[in-house]
Amino acid sequence: MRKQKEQEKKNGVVLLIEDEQDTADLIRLHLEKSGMAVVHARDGRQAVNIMEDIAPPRAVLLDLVVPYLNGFELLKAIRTKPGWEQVPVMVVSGDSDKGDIERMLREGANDYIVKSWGVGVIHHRLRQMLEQVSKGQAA
Amino acid sequence: MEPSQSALDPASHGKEIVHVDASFAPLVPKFMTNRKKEVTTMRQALTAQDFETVRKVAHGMKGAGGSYGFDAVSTMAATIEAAAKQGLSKTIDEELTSLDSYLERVDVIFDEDASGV
Repeated sequence: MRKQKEQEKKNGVVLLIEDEQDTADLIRLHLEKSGMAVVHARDGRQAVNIMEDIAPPRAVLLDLVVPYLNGFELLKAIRTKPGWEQVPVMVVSGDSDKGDIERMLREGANDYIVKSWGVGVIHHRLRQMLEQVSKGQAA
Repeated sequence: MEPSQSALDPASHGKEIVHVDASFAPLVPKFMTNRKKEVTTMRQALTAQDFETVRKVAHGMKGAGGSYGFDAVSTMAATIEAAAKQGLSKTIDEELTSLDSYLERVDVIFDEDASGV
């Protein structure tokens, strides 16, 4: 718990919305090893509840297909929540449907990653996304 | 380099070899156990003609397989998911048999740097 708090303070929190537990465990392991703190929501309802409880995170990793609320609904909830409008959102999906990708990016997602690319790529693109956001804020 | 490469190695008596990043090692046993349980779940759902359960389980497996670098698992799960959407029992049955066999034969080799980045 103390380690988690230290990581939150140093590197901020990543909100991970993912219903498949093994995938969530793997992403969490990767991000925590690089010093990021992870808050995990297993479904859409839990994600919305967590959003009420935490400050805007450094980034959101959003699975497109989760129970109760889908990725499109969750992205809308994120983009319309005061203070969360600019939070970088990376969609992490098992699907690579071109229409879904274009719609997600059009509706405010910063990036879209297909899970079959592997967790290393997810992590790499997350770092890139955060660097771009930092540069944008500094400019 | 891709996170993993699966290859049939003739010298390994039909074993499938998958290279996985060493940092995944603590999670791989649970990953394998859960995939085997999911094959059983899908088999039972198929018997009950419950294609929605087959589709949901296969969808989760498709993503998990890809994330961990088990490309063959992801590919077979994708085939099952697509077949479940169309109610294609025979295709699901055949693919579950292949998946079950693959999970029994697969050997994991942990590499120090196989994360794909």
